[in-house]
Parts: sequence; structure tokens; C-alpha cells
Amino acid sequence: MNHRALGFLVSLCAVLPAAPFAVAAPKPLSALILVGNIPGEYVKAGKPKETHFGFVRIKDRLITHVEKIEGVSDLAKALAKFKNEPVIQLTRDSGKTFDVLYPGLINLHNHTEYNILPVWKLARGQFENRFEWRGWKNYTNSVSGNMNPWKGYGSAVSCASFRWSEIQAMTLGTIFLQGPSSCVTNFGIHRVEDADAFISNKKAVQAPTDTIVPEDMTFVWKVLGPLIRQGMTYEAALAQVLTEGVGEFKGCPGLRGVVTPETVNSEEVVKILGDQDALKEACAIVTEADEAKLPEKFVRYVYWHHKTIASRKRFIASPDYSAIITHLAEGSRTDPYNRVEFEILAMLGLLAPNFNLVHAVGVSPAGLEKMAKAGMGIVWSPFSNLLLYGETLDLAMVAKADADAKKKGKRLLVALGSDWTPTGTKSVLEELQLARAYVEREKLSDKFDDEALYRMVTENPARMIGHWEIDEEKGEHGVGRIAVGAMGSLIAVSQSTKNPYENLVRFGNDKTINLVVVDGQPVYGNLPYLERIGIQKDDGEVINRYYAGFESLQKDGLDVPPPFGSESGAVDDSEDKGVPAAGGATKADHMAKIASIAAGLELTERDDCGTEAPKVFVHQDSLADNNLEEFKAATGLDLDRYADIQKFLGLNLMTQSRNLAEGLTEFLVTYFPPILSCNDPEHRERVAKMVIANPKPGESDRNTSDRKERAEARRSAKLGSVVKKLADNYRTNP
Amino acid sequence: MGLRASQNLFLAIALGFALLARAPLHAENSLPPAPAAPALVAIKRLDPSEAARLSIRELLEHSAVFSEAIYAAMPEEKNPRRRLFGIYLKVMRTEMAALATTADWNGKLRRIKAIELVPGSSTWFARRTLQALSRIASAYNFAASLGIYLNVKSIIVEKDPPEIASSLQNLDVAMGNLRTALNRVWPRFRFVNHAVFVRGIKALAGDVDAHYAFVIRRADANEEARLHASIRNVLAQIERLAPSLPRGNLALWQELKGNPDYATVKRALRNVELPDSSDIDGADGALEKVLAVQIGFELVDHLLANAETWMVQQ
Repeated sequence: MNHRALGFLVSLCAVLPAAPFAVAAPKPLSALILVGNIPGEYVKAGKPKETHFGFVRIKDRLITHVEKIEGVSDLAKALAKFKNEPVIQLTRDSGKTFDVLYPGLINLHNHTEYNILPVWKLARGQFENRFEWRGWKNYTNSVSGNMNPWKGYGSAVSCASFRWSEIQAMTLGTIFLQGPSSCVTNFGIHRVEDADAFISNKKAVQAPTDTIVPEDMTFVWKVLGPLIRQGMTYEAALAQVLTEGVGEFKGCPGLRGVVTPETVNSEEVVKILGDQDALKEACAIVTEADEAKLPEKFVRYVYWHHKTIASRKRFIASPDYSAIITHLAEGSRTDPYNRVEFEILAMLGLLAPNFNLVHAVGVSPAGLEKMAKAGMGIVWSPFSNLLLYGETLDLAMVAKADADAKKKGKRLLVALGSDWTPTGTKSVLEELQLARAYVEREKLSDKFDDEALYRMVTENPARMIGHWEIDEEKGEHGVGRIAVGAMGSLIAVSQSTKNPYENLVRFGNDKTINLVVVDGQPVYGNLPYLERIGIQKDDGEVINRYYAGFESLQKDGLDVPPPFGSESGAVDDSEDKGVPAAGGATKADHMAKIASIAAGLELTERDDCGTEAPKVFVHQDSLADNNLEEFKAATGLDLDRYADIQKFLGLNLMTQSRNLAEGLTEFLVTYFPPILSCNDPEHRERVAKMVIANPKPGESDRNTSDRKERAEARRSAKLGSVVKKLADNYRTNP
Repeated sequence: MGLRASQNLFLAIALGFALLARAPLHAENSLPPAPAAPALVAIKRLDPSEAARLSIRELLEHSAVFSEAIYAAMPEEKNPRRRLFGIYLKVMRTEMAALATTADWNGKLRRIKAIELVPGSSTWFARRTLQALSRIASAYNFAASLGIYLNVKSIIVEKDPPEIASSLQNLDVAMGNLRTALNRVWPRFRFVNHAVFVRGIKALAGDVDAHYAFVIRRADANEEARLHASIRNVLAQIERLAPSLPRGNLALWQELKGNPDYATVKRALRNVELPDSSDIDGADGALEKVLAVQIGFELVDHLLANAETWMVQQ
């Protein structure tokens, strides 16, 4: 039976009661042995473009053995020394074929709270930079309008969203996911920004969305810029303006002798600058006339932003520095502001090793060279770029900059990032396939072959975040590879082709990811694999089942209160009488009510994936670690459980949005996207049609048609004012 | 005031409200959809003789349209003054809409006599009308006085662009004209409104509540949890006490000031660091939140400390 037919059958038959799992998480394993095929580069004397049969042993979070075995018949002998340790043979056909083991994938770009949203339908490559769509009313309605007000109901909602993102990433083989998160301790996979995700002595990776704030960085561009262009460092220029002044501003008398180029980034000076009373006193700001003499954005920059810049510099200079990941030059290649943003970063003196730029599409060829020289990296999110701006990185330029750098012993590394689901894909694995189609269409496969693309989700990101190294003495245990001493986080993928790179890049998807092991503990995988180490069906939840029916809950008569605040328009007369408003309900009360309704929902389960085995998320036991026990006791919702997370988020998304309250029906999401792409045909189609490598005659991919219609799309959306304002503020000759 | 003038006035106001009415369906911290605001330059400042000839309805309409235009022209981002203006404008829109609804519901406004508009009248419509006018005037005073406070006290809030500053001055004149006209008709007209004060202080405290968890971060998780608990404690106390505060009950203010958490929170929110944000709104969004928390609490503190005088002075 083919998969399509099987999927149909399953979807018809899967009207099952919600799985009544209430069992604790299985006990942690002390060690784990995985038997399967290992990419040649990870075994001794292996052939790089082939896989070799062997095993990997993990103990105490680390890989202890990576060994090649001649054949299945030698397996027992090879494993004899690990008597009684749990073993998973990664075979689905009694040893005829084995899955391929890979290091857990790394995703360096996400905004995890929003990954319950479908792809934003109105984005058609029409924007010039990120500030343009962020300020577009239709964007606000499409994204915020569906997330507000319920996103602010309380931390349990955020917890559910972050956990949803982790499960989504995990099902597609990601184990290290960048993105803001809270209350995910000991749940599922790892956060890139969590120092405990790695056995290392380095500080946590920092991943602020922005480093350059265009509204306020005019101070750097216009006031410090002339001094920096003359050869001063950022520190010298800032110290001079603070103490000696510029133009009508005569400097801050109270800072003379205190602020110098050497001290301006120090915590002591930053403390003065970050205290509005101290700053007023030091700079003798008494009257409005004094304020009027201050340079443009002086207070805003010195009080707010310098603190951040100084803190980044101290971080970079520290011996236990790891990495910084930040958005920069996101948009079209030719947008004037995008071109300038990298120059501002350079002015700030932030071209530094492992300072990684998300997007970097607007960085000039000369800028790319500087990046390579400084040891910086690029996080590439092609789907998001093409969807929003109609174009992405100039890969030929990137390849040239990297090749030039190689001659000098440097690299310009590129990692993939999926971005968030409203404009991105569900994981780097999907992004890989888009990237492959893109390089093929652009005739760049010679520079970016499957191996190069594979490294963009394994080795490159590991190096870029400073967690590649394996050095027992230094206490460093890297990721992104299968090696003795590396972190024991691996995935197993069906083998569809001999070449391991091609196998992952071309055939990796939610159906072929068969096992995810985090620090030696299986968290997700085919049920038969999990059963081999004693994990039973009731120890987890089948992920490829999803709930249908969120879209019609209210139509079907579910009694659910309207979004919080939607009825609070009028001033309550009771306030005039000196008593609190009737009811006194808080957001937390409201959220608890919604959660209780969600807990009691009886929904139909579906599975359209047609996987050959149920894929199970192993029960986690993280409520106590994340202060979620009280929430469970009060509402009945268990946020360790995929089913409960799904109900809670689905109910909020479909019944609690501002759009629904305000009747903005054209911006309402039409469905709650299932977590797996194989259950989400709308998403699959958007991704698959964005770039078609070899279109048939008369066929056009989405990106090509978007580019043709771009000018008209910009005209009809009346775009342009943001681009103009930024260009005016950052003219190259201010 | 003559009988006929009063009738005309009420009818005119009702019609004006009906024209400007909007359905008040919106979240607490967002304004309801605005009527299309005319361009800022299109609103002219009335000369005193012209203002004196206009009815209260016309003055009110003039101020409402002017306010919409100013609000639409104010810089949206990181602008606490716009937030204050929004609190006022929301009251204005809501009250107009509510009064228009009142008129529709009853359908007998034409028959209302002048005497029913005098304070102390037992007529529900008259009371509601006066209440609406009082709320609008009070909300304006609330926003304007706090705007002046920010101008004088804060260096971290940027000044309004010149065209906005001058428009605000014009609006102040327009509201002054309205005030004069109201005083002429009802010498005992109250320009203070308890509900507006409570609503305003709660809106600002709500800004703190909405974002403090993101903004107030500490390296030590326990320290952060303690500080968050203190903030929640203080905000809950403000929520509880706010309705009673401007009643001259100084003991309540003393109770709040006596709470050791209050001083802790005030100190912690005086200078707030800009936290890293990996959220989609990035540093822009973070700065917006920081300003909402820091300025929100500063204004709440100012209002609480001056609650009694605020109510008396308006």
C-alpha cells in the first residue's frame, strides 16, 4: 500500500479518544547504544561520501564510542563489553537496512513564541527591509491581531508556545534551537542560548534580535560618525563627545576625568550614564534650553543603548566568550539603509569573531570580506528572505568572500536558520530543501553542494556559536558532529541514498526522522525503536495525530468567553461610586478559564501522514522545574503533554484573538496548523512552490512570480515611506 | 440659560455624539478604531470672538476633531506622551459613543427641558450628559498635566516635534474655550471626575503590569523572582486602593507608602536597563516596553503622591 492510500485510511479510522496518558516520564538511561549507519567522516578511515555500519555509545551526556563494525554478524561481539546497556538497533526491517545517524541539527534563527501561526499570506516579496513590514498595518493585523490579547494572558500561554516550538523542531531533527524561551527546563530539546545545553566553560550565547536600533543610532551615524571616520575608535569618539561636547553642546563637566576611551565601556561609567538623575547632574541638564543643545538622540543613545553596546564589548573581550547572534541588514540587497547597517556595526567596533549576523543580505562585497577577516558568520534564512523581500543572500559573493578568506586561513561560515513560521519554515531541515532548490535554480550547486548545505546545519553553526571544540582538558564538549567527547545528541534518519549528505539534504523530513536523542535520552522516535529500550506506548504520545476541529469550535456551540478586555470599552459607572469594576477578573483568571475549557475539550484526532510507525514524544517530567504544577492543579492542563499544549494553543488562537473580537475577519487565521508538515498541506505547498529548481515549460515558482509583481505590490500597498525615512536619516554623507 | 437654548444644546450634543459614535469593542490598552482624522494643518485655532459664538456642541466637536488629528500625527513609537493622549482620547470617544447610544435608546431627548440639565437634577439623561462632559474635560486635564510633568521632569522622554507641540497648545486653547462655555452654562460644572482618575491610574499601572516580567530581569533568578513578587504586590495594592485614593483619604496613600515593597519597586523602576529581546519586535519592542514600565510607574507614583491636590486643583 502506498503512503497516500495509507494516510487516507488512517485519517478515516483515527477518530480515537484523546490518549489518556497519565504516566510519569520513563527513568533516565545511564547509557545508550545506537546501532546504525554512520556518515564516513565520523568514523576512523571512513569514506566521506558513504555511510558505515557501526554504533555510537553515549554515557553521562557525552559520546564515548564511535565504532565501525564490519557487519551485523559482528555486532554482538562488538557490544559484548557493554553488557546490559540499552541498545537501539536502528532498523525497521529486521536488519536488512539501517538508519543513518547524524548529529542533532542546529537552528540559529527563530522567534519561538509565534510558531503556531501559519505562513503569512499577504507577504509576496514586496518589502525592502524589516522595518517596512513591521510598520505595515496589515502585518500587525495578521500577526499581532491573531496573537493578541491572549499572548499576554500569562506565563502559561508563553510556556505552551515555547514547548510547541520545541516539539516542532524536534520532530524535524533539530536539537539546538535558537529563540527566546522560558519554562522549558528539562523539556524536549535544547536552547542555543542556554549555557547548560552544553558541557562547556563558556558563557551563554547571546541572541538579541537587533543590535542596531535605527531610530536612535543616528547619534552614532551623525554625531560620532565624523570622528570615527577620521580614525577614532568608537570609545574615543564617545568619550570626546561626552567630555568635550560637539557643536553647541559643551560636554558634561561631571564626566571629565571620569570618562576616557579606556573607561567608557566600564560598568562604573555605564552606571552613571544609565542613571537619569546622575546623567542630568553630570551633564548639567537643568533647563529646557540645556536639553535643546544636546546632540540628536544624545540622551536616548547614551542612557539606553550605550549600556548594551558596552556590555556586548565586555562579553566579546571576556575569556569565556561564546557567540552573539543578531539580525542585521535584513531586506533587499539594494535597500540604502540595509547597506548602511553594517557600516554602523563597524563604527561601533563590533566586527568580532563569532559575531553572527542573521540575514546580512544587504552587506556589500567589501563588508563580506570584513566579516570573513573578523571571523564572523552569517545565518541564512532563504524562505523568509524570499517571502518578504523576493531575494536573498548573494551566494556567489559569499562563496567568493569565503574562498578569498580561506587563502588567509579564515572562513566566512554560513549556517541555516528557519526563522518563525509566519515567514519561515518549520525547521532547518525544511530550509535545507529550499536551499538546495535555490542553489540549483541559481546554478550554484558547484559552490554549495549537498555536503556544503549539510554543514550549514551541523558543523558551521557549531563553530559559529563557539561549541565545536572537543577538549577534555579545557572542559569543552562540542556539538555538530559525531565524535568521542562530543555531546550525545543525535538523530536517526531513514537511509534513502548512499551519500549521507544527500540523504539528509534531499530526503530528510518529518516522516524519515525516526529517532531524536538528547544527551543520551531518547525524547522522540518510532515506537518500535523506543520499545527496544523498554519505553512503551503509554510512556509517550503519538505526535503524528493531531486534533481537528479547532476551526469550528465556536460554530459548533462551544461556550467560550470572548477575549479579555474586549468588553471593557465603556467606563464602568461603579468606578464613580468608589468601588472596583464589577467582576474583578484578571488576565490570569481569564487564562485559567480558557485552560480549563481546553482541558475538557473532546476533539477528534487525525493523522494524514501515513508514517510506517507511530512517532512518539516520550513523556517529560518538567512541571516542577518550571513552576507549572499549580497551573495543572487549577486547570487540569498538563503542559508536559503535547495533546494538552495543542488544545490550549488551538483554543486560544481560534477563539481569543483581537481580530475575532474586532471583526477583522480578513486577517483571521483560517486554521491551527498541525505540528507536522505531513499533516499540513497548506504549509507544504507554500514551501515546495517557493523555489522550483527545474521548472517545467510554462511553470513558474512563487518567488519568480512575486518578483515580477513586486513593483505593483508595493504601489498597491502604498509602501515606501519607511524606506525613504531611513534612507534620509542615514544618508552616506550626513 | 433659557429653555430653548438648553433644548438646542442637548439636541445638538446628542447629534454630535451620534455622528462621532463608535462601537466600544476593544482591549483596555488599545484605542477603538478612530474616525478618519483630518490632516493636522487643516485644524485652525479659533479666535476668542469666534469661540464665544460657538455652541458647546460645536466647541466639543472642534476639540474632538482636533484631538483626533493630533493623535494621528503624534510619533507612534516610544512616545509615552502619545500613550497619555490616547487615554484621554479613548475617554472622549467612549463617552460620545455612550451618549449617542443613550439618545437612541430613549428617543425622547427633544422633550427634555432645560432645567433637567442643571446639576442636581434627578433626570438620568441630564446626569449622564454632565458626567460625559465632566469625564472628557477631566481626561484632557489628566493627559495634559501629566504631559507637562514629563516635559519638566524627564530627560528620557523625547520632546514633541514642533508642529505637534504647537498643535497641543492650540488644543489647550480649544479645551479652554469649552471649559469657559461649560462654566457659563453650569457655574458648578465639575472638571474632575473620579472615574477618569481611577481609569487613568489603572491604565498606567496596567502598562507596568503588562511588561514588567520582560523588563525587570536579574542575573540571580531568586532576586528576580522576589522583585517580580514585590511589583505584583504593589500593583495589586494600587488596583485595590486607586478607587478610594482621590477621596481625600490620605491614610490610604500612607498605607501604600508604608509598604516596604513600594520603595523597593520605585527604586528598581527608576532606571531600567534595556533587556535583550529575541522577540520579533527586537530592540524597538524592548525599548517600547521599558518606557511603558519606567514612565508608567513614574506617573503612577506622581499621581498617587498628588492624588488629593490633583482632584482639588482641576
